[in-house]
Amino acid sequence: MLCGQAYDAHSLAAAAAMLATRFEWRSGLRAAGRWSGAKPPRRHWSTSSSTTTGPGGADAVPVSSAGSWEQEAEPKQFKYPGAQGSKFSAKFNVVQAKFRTPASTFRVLSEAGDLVGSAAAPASPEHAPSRHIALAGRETVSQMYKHMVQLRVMDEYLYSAQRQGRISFYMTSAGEEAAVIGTAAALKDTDPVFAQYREQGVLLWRGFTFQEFCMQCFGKGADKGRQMPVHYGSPELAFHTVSSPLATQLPQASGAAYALRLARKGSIKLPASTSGSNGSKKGRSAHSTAGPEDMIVTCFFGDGAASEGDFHAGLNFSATLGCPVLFVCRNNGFAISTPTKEQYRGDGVVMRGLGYGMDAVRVDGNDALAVEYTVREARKHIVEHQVPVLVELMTYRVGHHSTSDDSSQYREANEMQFYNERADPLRRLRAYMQRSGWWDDEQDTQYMQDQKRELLTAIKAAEKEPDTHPMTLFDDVYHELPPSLVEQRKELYNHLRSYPHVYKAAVHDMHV
Amino acid sequence: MTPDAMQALGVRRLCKLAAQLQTPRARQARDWSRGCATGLQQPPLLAVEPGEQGTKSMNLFQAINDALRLSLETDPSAIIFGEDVAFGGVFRCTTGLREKFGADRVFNTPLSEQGICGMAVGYASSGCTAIAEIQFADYIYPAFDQLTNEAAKFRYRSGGQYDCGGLVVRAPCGAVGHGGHYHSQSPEAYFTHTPGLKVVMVRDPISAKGLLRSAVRCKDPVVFFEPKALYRTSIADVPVRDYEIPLGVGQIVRSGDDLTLVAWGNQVNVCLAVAEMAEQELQASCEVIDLMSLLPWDRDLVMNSVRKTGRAIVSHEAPRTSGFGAEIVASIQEHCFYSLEAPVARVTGWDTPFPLVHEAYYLPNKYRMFDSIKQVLGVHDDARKFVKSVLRDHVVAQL
Ligand SMILES: Cc1ncc(C[n+]2csc(CCOP(=O)(O)OP(=O)(O)O)c2C)c(N)n1
Ligand SMILES: [Mg+2]
Repeated sequence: MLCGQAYDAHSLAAAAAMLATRFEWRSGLRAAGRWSGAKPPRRHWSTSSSTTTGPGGADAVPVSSAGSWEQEAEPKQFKYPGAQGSKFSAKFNVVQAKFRTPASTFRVLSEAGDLVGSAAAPASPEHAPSRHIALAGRETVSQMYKHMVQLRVMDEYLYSAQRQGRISFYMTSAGEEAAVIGTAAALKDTDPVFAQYREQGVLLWRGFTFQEFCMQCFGKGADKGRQMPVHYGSPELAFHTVSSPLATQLPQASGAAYALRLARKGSIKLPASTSGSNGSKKGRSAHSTAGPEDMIVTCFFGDGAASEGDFHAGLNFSATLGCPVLFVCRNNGFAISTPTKEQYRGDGVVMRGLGYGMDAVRVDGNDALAVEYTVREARKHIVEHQVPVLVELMTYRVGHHSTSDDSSQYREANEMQFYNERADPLRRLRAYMQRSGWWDDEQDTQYMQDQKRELLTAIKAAEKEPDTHPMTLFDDVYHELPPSLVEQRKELYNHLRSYPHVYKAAVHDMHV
Repeated sequence: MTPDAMQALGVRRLCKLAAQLQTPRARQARDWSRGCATGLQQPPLLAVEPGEQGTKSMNLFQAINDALRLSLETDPSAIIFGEDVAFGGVFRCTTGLREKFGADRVFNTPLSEQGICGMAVGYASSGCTAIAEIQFADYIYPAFDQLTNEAAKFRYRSGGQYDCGGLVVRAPCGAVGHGGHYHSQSPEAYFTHTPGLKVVMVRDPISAKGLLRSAVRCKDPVVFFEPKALYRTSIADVPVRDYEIPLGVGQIVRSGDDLTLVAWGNQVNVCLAVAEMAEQELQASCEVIDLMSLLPWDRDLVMNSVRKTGRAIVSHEAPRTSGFGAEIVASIQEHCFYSLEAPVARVTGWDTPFPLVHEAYYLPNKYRMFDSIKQVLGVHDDARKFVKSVLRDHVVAQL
């Protein structure tokens, strides 16, 4: 065991200095500009000193060389295969977690909606390109804001629909709209997405209609009423169906990204459906075709899910196999009632990327501009280098975990209020737009009203739709109905016919 | 209709009943005299003495909470942990325990089921008592390795030098009306297939408290399932005292002699309901057995009952194929073959994942069980009507 006396001031300082410099270049946390290729990084990302061929031909994964087999008598470095590049030191260097300053949080919009720091500098040739950040322009910003409003309206209404007993369950994105919409805006609409469950904003961005959302929540959607509300999916929009078991999507995303990697090399061919059937329904034409050469997989997860074994497997696999995947952690402070301080002791989730040899960025998730910028840069990096990247979006879950939860049992009302007032992502982006002269109060009220009206129409329409027929219960278990299920289906059919007064569905017209 | 014709319709049993001129009331009186309540009334429990003083009305989550409190009180090494247990748990089972026993003994863990169960194994193997909670049985699978490869084999692999008795993993299971695939499963059969584990599923507050107390004191690891649909809806007068219901022992919760119904968990309540229905509509008397413990299970209890009734139906919410019912049916045919008057039937969930909007069509409810009872008794609808009218005539004639 390490004990207190082992640390003298000198070695502590040395350790801290070592860590500071390392994290600077490795993580790219200090300057997002690194990814823009403004200044060549100290170690070039694409040309490592040597490359190895991993399983499946992961030949572009940069692995630093530890020198030749002929070691000098007293080597500075040594070929322990598990830590290549590590130098010997007679100093007792403890890699201390306690003395690390937390990774910074990238933000470009102040609470009041002003551009801050280098982002505030005008995009002009006088400024070094590394200080210039090409933020999203008017069109993208407006689109982001509008979708954030839509998301909030949808959440409000479907949440009430649950309270009224019209749907069985709901989960809101309240407080996290910028995190999800900002990410969606920076991706190509054809990029396959593996979501957790609080990312309906991605679907919204890609053109999933209010009607489609409502149909799923009312148990009448394309999933045939199989899953609980908010467990959306849309192959058309390259959005894998949500699954409740946490973190299972991370290694899956690595697998999907590995397929992209191989397809890009030409060693396999992916079906067109991988990128959705029609890109965006909104017909963003540039996005309507996609090949593996410009495609990444994106995987969302929460701060709680990041404690599951699958999280570690997902990150480690993608790093070792060179999978073009973007991991997006929505760190909203809670996993149901469990606060992040009981979830981990490290510096959030972002630092874990380093542990797996993966670049990582921490962003203010309530700053839509910062999120969009980061994801755009990360995406570029992933496409170019065929490596995974981890992005941690710092945010706060303003709503209850779900309609089954009452968060007043485990958090103070004034805490919620604080975040609601100080960190509301919608208000911040709206202020920015209004300051830029792109939006005004009147437009805002009008837009909100229009969305509410549309949503109410969608809810009513979904309610009127007929229920999915119970005989569909046996479909999709397998590609083809096996004999045992044919038999059970018949059994149920006969049963329903004998008890028409007990069951809701009429079966007389069913052919079995 | 001649007796011969009735025979041909397969209503021999009902003819016999008609001949015995038993009215439902008479039958009920007889059951009472045997010391067993009928219908949905709370049957007396093994552990609860008749006329027991000092009971308190509790629902299932309160009874579990009570058992947990007793465990912490009586065993200083006992700790309770899992996802969100600190504030009382998403089903309120751990309410107030952290306040009473401190954060060292009742705490949230990071969100990892394999972590929770692995930690539980290690703590228990140090001679202490670990009571772990998996938030939903549907999420127990990440811990499958820790439970089936580790907990289950801890004693055996060391030749008895190490063990992890004192380990209980609690998990809410079963249908709840709106849970879909991932909040409704009954995964008991995965665990009954694992020698070294003990597996329990409870049906009501009284049995839950006694079984949980036994599980906590058990020298072997126990996977303890609590039907979440019952947490608030199942209410009973639970003895306040500390009591145990032994593991491995089943219970006849309603006695009868025409047919044996075997179930566990919430399905026992469905069996009690259909037994009543069969009594009313078919004048058939069903014996209902709650296994309570699935591994090991009370084979003698079931066999003796089936030898008496000659007919059996096993029922569970989980899918049919390789469900735990298969084990029971196989044992019945092995041990009671010559007593059987009809094939042993299973009424179960279908071989599909648990659906959301079609839950009502998936579950082995009392109507599906009733269908099966008619089949096992050999009752055809026409014959049933006929016999009922005969019975009615007799009753009227008697008045
Ligand atoms: C494997 C697994 N264990 C437990 C649960 C129950 N559960 C659902 S959501 C949740 C909290 C997740 O928190 P986080 O990942 O931070 O996402 P957030 O809800 O904050 O968006 C838990 C414990 C689950 N769905 N899956
Ligand atoms: Mg969270």
